[in-house]
Amino acid sequence: MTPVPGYEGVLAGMAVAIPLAAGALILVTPKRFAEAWSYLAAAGAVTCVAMLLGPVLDGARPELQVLRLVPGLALAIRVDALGLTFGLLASGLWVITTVYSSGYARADHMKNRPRYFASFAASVGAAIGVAFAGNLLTFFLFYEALTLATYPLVVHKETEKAFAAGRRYLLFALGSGLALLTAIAWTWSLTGSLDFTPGGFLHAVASPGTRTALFVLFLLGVSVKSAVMPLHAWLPAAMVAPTPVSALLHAVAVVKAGVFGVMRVMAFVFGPASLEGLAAQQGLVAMAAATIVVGSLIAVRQDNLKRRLAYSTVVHLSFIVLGAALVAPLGLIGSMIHMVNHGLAKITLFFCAGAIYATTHLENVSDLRGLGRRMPWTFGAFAVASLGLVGIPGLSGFVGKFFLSRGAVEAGDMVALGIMLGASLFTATYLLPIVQIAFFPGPPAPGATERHAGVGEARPALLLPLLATAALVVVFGSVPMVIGVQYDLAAAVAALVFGGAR
Amino acid sequence: MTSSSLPIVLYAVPFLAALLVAVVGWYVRGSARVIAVSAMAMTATLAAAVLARVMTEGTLYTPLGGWPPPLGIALVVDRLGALMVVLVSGVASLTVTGSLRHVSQELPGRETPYYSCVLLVTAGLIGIAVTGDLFNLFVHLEVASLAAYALVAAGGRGAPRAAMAYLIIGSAGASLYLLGVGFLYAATGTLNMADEARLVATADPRLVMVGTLLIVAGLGVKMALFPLHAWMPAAYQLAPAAAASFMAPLVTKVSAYALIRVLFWVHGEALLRTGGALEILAWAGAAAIVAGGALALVEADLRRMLAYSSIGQVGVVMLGVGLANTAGMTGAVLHIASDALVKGVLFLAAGIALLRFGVSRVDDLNRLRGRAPWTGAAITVAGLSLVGVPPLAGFFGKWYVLSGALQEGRWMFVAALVLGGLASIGYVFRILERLYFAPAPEHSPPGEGSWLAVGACLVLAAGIVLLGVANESVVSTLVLPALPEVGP
Amino acid sequence: MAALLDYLVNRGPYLLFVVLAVLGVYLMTSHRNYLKAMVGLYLFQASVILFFVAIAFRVDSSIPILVPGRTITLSNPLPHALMLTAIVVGVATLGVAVAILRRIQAETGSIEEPRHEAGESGR
Repeated sequence: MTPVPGYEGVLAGMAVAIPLAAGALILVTPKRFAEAWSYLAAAGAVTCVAMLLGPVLDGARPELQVLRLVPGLALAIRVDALGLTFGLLASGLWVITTVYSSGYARADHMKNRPRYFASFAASVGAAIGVAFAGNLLTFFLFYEALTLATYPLVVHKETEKAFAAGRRYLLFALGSGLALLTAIAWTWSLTGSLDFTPGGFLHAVASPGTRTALFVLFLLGVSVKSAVMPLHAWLPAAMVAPTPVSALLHAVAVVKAGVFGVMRVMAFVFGPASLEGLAAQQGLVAMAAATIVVGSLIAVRQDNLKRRLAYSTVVHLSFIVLGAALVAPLGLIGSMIHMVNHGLAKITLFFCAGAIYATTHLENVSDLRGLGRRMPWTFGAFAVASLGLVGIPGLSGFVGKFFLSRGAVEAGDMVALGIMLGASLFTATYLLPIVQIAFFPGPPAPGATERHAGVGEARPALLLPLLATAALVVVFGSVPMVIGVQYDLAAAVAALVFGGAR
Repeated sequence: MTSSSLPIVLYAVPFLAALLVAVVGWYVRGSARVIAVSAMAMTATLAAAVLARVMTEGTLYTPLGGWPPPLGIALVVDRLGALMVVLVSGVASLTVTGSLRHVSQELPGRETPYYSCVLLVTAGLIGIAVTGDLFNLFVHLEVASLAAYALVAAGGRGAPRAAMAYLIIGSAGASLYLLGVGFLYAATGTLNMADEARLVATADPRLVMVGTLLIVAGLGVKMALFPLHAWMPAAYQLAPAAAASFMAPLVTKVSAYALIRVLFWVHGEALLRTGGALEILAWAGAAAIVAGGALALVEADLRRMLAYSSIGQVGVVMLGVGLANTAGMTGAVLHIASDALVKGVLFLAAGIALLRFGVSRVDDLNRLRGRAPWTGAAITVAGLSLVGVPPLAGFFGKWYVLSGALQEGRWMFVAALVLGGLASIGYVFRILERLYFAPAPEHSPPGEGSWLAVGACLVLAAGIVLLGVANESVVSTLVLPALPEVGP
Repeated sequence: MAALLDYLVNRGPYLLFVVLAVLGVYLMTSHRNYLKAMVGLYLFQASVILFFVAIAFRVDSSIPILVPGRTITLSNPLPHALMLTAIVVGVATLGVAVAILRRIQAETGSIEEPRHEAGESGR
C-alpha cells in the first residue's frame, strides 16, 4: 500500500498527540478547565480519526515517522484498517464518556478531578497510539504508556482495596510488558525488522522451536490486557475504579488494546505461514475456549454488578481472541467486528451500572429488585445491550458472533463453534435476570425492605450517554450502511493477511 | 592523535581549585562554595570543549613533562573518554549546585573541607577518564577515593563506621588493582596503555591472566559489583545527603568505565575471551542485576534502596561489557550515562525529602504529596527511566544489552534482565505510590525546598528525557564511534 | 636441599609477599577492632609494594643510582619510583583512616565494630 505522508499522516499524528497534550494541559491549568480541555480534545481527536476513514477505505495507509529510536527503528505511526477501527472506537466513545464523566463526577462528589481527567486523556491518547502504531516498538511504547496512564485511575479512590488492585494491575501489566519486550528484542535480532506486515514476517524464522518460544512470549505480553485466563485476575479487581473508568477503559480501551495486540501478533507478526504446524497456536485456541467456559460460570455467581460485568468482559474478550487464534479469514473478520460491537454493548452496561450506583448507591444485583420501575430508561438501555451481547439478530452483537461462528466452521473447529454458541446463550443467564428482577420483581420476600425508596431516574448527564450507546448497539446491528462499512474494513484486513504477501 | 594541553588543563582546574578552597576557604567566609561552583562550571565548559575537539580532530593526547611515550605518563582522551568527562563534569556541576543549601544545612561550618573534598573527587574522576597510563589511573583512583571516604564520614550517626568499612574494602580493592598492574608490568615491562596493548599479545599469558583478574577484582570493588558491593548501601545511606547526591551517580560509573578502558583498550577482545574474564564479568553482572533488584525491593530506607538499585544497574553495565558485542557495549555505555543522570535526580530528591520533609524511609514519602510537585515530577521521570519505559533514556541501555544477550543466545542473562526489570517495577512504583496516592499528613512544611535543588533535579530529568528522545542520534554519532573493537 | 635453598633465595620475596598479603587479609577480615583492620590493610598494601620491588630486581644488580664512571647492572628504577607514590598513598589512607577512627570513638566510645552493623535496615 502506498504510504501517504503529509496531510493524512499529520492527522494521524494529531489524533495521538491531541489527547496526550490535553492531559498535560489539564495538569498545569486551573482546575475548572479540566473538563473543558477534555471536551475539546475529545472532539479534536475523533474528528482527526474520522477524517482518516475515507482515505483508509480507499486503500491509503497514512504514515508519519515521529522519532528515530534506535538505528534502523523509528517511532512510527501507520494507519491501516485494523488500526482505524480501534482508533475510531476509542476516540468516538471518549466523547460520550467525557459527558458521562462530568455527570458522574458531580453525582459522586469526585475528588482530584484534574488528575482524573488528565489520566483519562492520556489513556485515550495512548490507546490511539496503540491503534496507530506502525511497528512493534512503537506499539510497545504506547502499550506500556497505556498501563501507566490508567494506573492513577485504578487507584483513584485511594482506599486500601484500590491500592491493592493497583499494585496487582501494575504487576500483571508491566510484568507481561517485560515478556513482550523480550519477544520484540528477540524478533529484532532474528529478523532485523519490527514493522507490522499483513500476513506476518516471522515465516523467515526457520526453527519451529524458536517460533513457538516467540509465540509464547508475545502472547504472554498481550494476554494480560486481553484477560485470558489465568492472567485475567486484575480485571475484576480493577472494578474498584470509578465507573466511567471501568466503562471506557476496562471495557473498551485497555482490554481492546489487548485483543488488538493479539490480532496484530497473530496476523501482522505471525501469520498463516508462520503459524503452520505450531502446536502453540492450538494451545491459544484452547486457552481462549477455556476462558469462555470458566468465565461464564464465574460470572453467573457474582452478585456485585460490576464484577459480573467484568467477568462477562473476560468471556467476550476471549471470543475475540478465539477468532484471531483460529487463523481463518472469517474468524479475523468476526474478531474485528466483535471488538467494536462488544465494546458498544459493554460500555452501555457499565454506564447503566454507574448510573445506578450514582443514583442509589447500590452495587449488588440482589438489591436491584423492582428498580426498573423507577429507572425505566436506564434499565431499558441495559436490556438492549444485554440482548445485544447475547447475540439477538438486529443488535450489534449478532454480526460479530455470526462471523466468528463461520470462522470456526472455516477452521474446522467444531468444539470452538459449540463453545461460542453455548456461551452466547449462556450470557443470557447472567445478564437477563438482572433486567427481569428490575422490571418484574415479583412478590417481595417476607421482611425485606425496599432498598431504593424515593429514587428517580438517573440525571441527564448520565442518562443521555447510555441511551446514545444503546442506540449505537441497535444501529450497528441493523443499519446496513454501518454494517457494510464495518465489514469492508474488516474484509480488507483479512484479504491482506490471508491472501496477500506470504 | 593530536597533541594538546587541554586534557591537563581539564584536570588541573578542579584539582587546583580544591587546593585553593582549602586555603582561601578558611579566611574568607562563603568563598568555598563560590570557588567550588565556579570551578565546576569551568570544568564542565572545558569538558564540552574537549568533546568538541575530539569529535573534530580525533584523539587528544598530552605527554606530561614532555617525556614522550612510552617513557612518560601520557594523557589520552578519545571519544569515550571525552563522553565520560562531559558526563562527570556535567552531573557533578548540577548536583553540587543543587545541594548548596543542603550543605549549609547539614554541615554548617564545615563547608571548606567539604568543597575541597568534592573538588578532589571530581579531579580524581576526571583524571581516571583522561589518563593513558595504568599506574596513573591508580593514583587518580585513590585521590578520588580518599576524598570520598572523608565525604562519607562527615554524615550523622553511624556514618564514620560506614566510611571506615568503605575505606578498608575500597583500599583493599585499590591494592588489588595495583597488584594486577604489577603483574601486567612484569609481563610486558610498560605501564602505558597503548604500549601495553601492543605488547600484551606476546607476553606470558599466565601473568596477563592473573593481572587481568586482579584488575577486574580491584575495580569491581570500586564499582560495587556484586558480590564486592558490601560497602555501598551503608555508605550511601549514611553519608550527608549532599555528598551522596554527588558521589552516587559518578564514582561507581567511572570505575566501570575504567574497567572497560583497561579490558578493551589494553587487552582487546580476543585476548579476553580466552582468559575467561568476560564470562566472569557477565555472570557477576547478571547476579548483580537480580540481587540488587531483590534487595532493593525489600528495603525500607530510601537511600539504601537507591544504593541497591545502583548495584543492579552496575550489573546491567557489566553484563553488556561481558557480552562484548556491539549491542552489549552500546548498552553498557548508554546505561552508564542514563544511570548517572537517574541517580543524580533520585539522590538529590532524596536530599530534599530528608532535609525539608524529614523523610528517610520510603513509606514517609507521602509527606511530599501535594507539596513538592516539581520534585515529584523529576522523581517520576527518573523512576520511569529506571524501570525502562520508552522513550526515556533508561530504556535504551536495557534494550541494547537485551539485544546483545539475545544475539548470543544467552537465556540466563535474558532471564536475569527480566527479573531485574520486574524488581525495578516493584520498588519504583512503591516510591510513586507513596508519593502520589498515599494520604498526605496534615502538617507539612510549606514550600518545596531549595529551588536550586529542585531546579537541578529538573535539569537532570530533562537530560534523561533528552537522552532518550535523541537516543538514536546519540548512539550513531557519539557512542558507536567511541566503542572499542568488538564482535558483531 | 640446595635446590630448596636456591628456591628460597630466588623466589623468597614472592613467598614473603604471599605470606604478608594473606596476613593482611586475615587481619582485615577477622577482627572487629578497626585499628587491627587498618594494620591489616597496611600490611596488605606493604605486600604489594614488596611485590613490585621484587620484580624490579635483576640478577647481580645494584641499587638504581647512576654514578658516572661505573658500569654495573642496575635494578629497574621504575617500580621503585612507583612504590614511592604507593607508599605515600598508603600513608594518606592511614591518615584518613585514623581520622575516621577518632570520629568513631567520639561517637560510640569504642573502636570496635558493633555486633549490629550501623545503618542496618529493618523491613
